[in-house]
Amino acid sequence: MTLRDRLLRTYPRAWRHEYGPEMAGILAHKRLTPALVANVVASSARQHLRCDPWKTCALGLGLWTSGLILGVREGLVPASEFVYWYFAGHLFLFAAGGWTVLRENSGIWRATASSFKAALVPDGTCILIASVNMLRYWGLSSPVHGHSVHYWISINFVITFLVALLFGLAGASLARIVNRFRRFAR
Amino acid sequence: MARKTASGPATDPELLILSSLAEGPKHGYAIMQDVATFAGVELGPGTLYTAITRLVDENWIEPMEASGRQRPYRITSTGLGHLRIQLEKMRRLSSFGLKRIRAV
Repeated sequence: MTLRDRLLRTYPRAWRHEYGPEMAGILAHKRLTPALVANVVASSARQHLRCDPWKTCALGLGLWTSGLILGVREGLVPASEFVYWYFAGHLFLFAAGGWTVLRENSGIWRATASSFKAALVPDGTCILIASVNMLRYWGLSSPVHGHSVHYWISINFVITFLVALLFGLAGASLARIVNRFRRFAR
Repeated sequence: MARKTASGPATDPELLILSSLAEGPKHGYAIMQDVATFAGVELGPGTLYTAITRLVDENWIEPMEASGRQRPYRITSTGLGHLRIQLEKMRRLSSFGLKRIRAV
């Protein structure tokens, strides 16, 4: 596989299906320079965010969660308010569900799956980080209420997915109502 | 690569593509060459297709029947209207700005 093929493969599959052959034709005419590679990579990142609303929402939720963790660590956010703000971040899941319906005109369950995927990225990362014990915030490395850290992480995982289901469904349902209203208004 | 000349409304990739297609349908590579000729802006392939994707989404341009790997695009009536509005705004801005420069 050549570098040109690799560059093309950085784009989302749906985008490649639509524009891949043309882009391949143009890349074949161009000399590969660092500037051109950076241009194509930046463009493919934008297409990932454009094609898949859940990726944008996962990125937003990831940044939100990271900011919150840092905020608690640096004392900017009281630790007692962590759960409140953590769940406020789940509005991104609501957005993922709603946006998927608005963008792709897809069904409610596809939108809910989109919300699930968005939830998986930051939560999965948190679990991974905690599992390798890289972070030692809030006594994560010691048992809490008689249960291991992994027990609480698993509980958090289940809760997050239930929240993703709830928020994703809510977002998708609202978006479908908006779509119906738009059609009616036309 | 994306914008070699100084940035500004005259180097906006979407406006450049619409201006290029106002002449007639063209495929991606022809648009790049045309833009480089009339505006002196060398659009990178990534920039070009990011803009094309957005223009298609907005229904300002539409793809035509592909011939081989190349697929031409043509400007729609909505796209033409949008281009006209943007160019009018630029013309007003430039005449206003030039008048002020002359007055200095």
